Amino acid sequence: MQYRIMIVDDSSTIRDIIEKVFIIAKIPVREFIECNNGKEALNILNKKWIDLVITDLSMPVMDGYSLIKEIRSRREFNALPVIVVSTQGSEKQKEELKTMGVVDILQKPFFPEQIRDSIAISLGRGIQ
Amino acid sequence: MIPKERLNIIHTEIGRVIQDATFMLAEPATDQDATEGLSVEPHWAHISYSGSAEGNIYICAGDELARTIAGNMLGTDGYDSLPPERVIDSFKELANILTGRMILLLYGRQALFRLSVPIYFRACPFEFNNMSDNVLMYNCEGMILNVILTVKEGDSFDKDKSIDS
Repeated sequence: MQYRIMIVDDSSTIRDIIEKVFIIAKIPVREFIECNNGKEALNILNKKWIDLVITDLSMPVMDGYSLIKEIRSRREFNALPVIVVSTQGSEKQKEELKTMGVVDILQKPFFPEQIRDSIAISLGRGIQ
Repeated sequence: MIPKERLNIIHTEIGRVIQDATFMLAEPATDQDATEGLSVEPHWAHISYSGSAEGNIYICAGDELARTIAGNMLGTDGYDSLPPERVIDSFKELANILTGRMILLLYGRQALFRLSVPIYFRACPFEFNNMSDNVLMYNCEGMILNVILTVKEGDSFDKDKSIDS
């Protein structure tokens, strides 16, 4: 199975790094969909099947919190796994995100192994 | 002002974060001129934070270091040929990463903050003269990276605000 992965981050650097992790970890990807903010992500989610969303929190236009809230408010996206990759590391934020059904919260800078393991769990794949 | 003892710990910890993010050795430097080796118009990135307290983080580096950082973060050889927008984006992202960690070190894991979108600019290194608060200098494989922290007057950094790493 090949996955369609959505990466939501206003930094192209971070989007590139995350894509490289998939390639290094040999996770089969059908398509990477890059979005600069939550609004762009929602527009695409309405049109395309996505297997995993990896999102930042601080972004212009629409932040990661608003995106996750919107995803969780809609029945069709209930099972969509979401990973947060952010510079912010407050415990309160982490607890809130967990209650919103976020699979994992990684703080930047992350090690490739951390995000690889998190992706593997989210996609129901064994960690290799 | 941040107590010197606390600032020393932060200086070391932020050095580790720079290393993790940029894959470069980043040694805390104290005995060098903060403007040494900086080009006429070094690269700057600025982020402000607000919430339990308010402040600003600036990072500043010369062109060669900014390009090296971008090349390392992106995992590309030949960083001389990187387009300017990739260098700018990587520099802004480094500021973002350092701000997130700096806030944790200053205020602990319980405090909630909102971070501004990073702003990039190029300016004369003598801007340092107006930023005397706290300049953390790093020797990154022979090139200087400065991390400047300005905190709003009235913030206290007492022992109750534990440093989490």
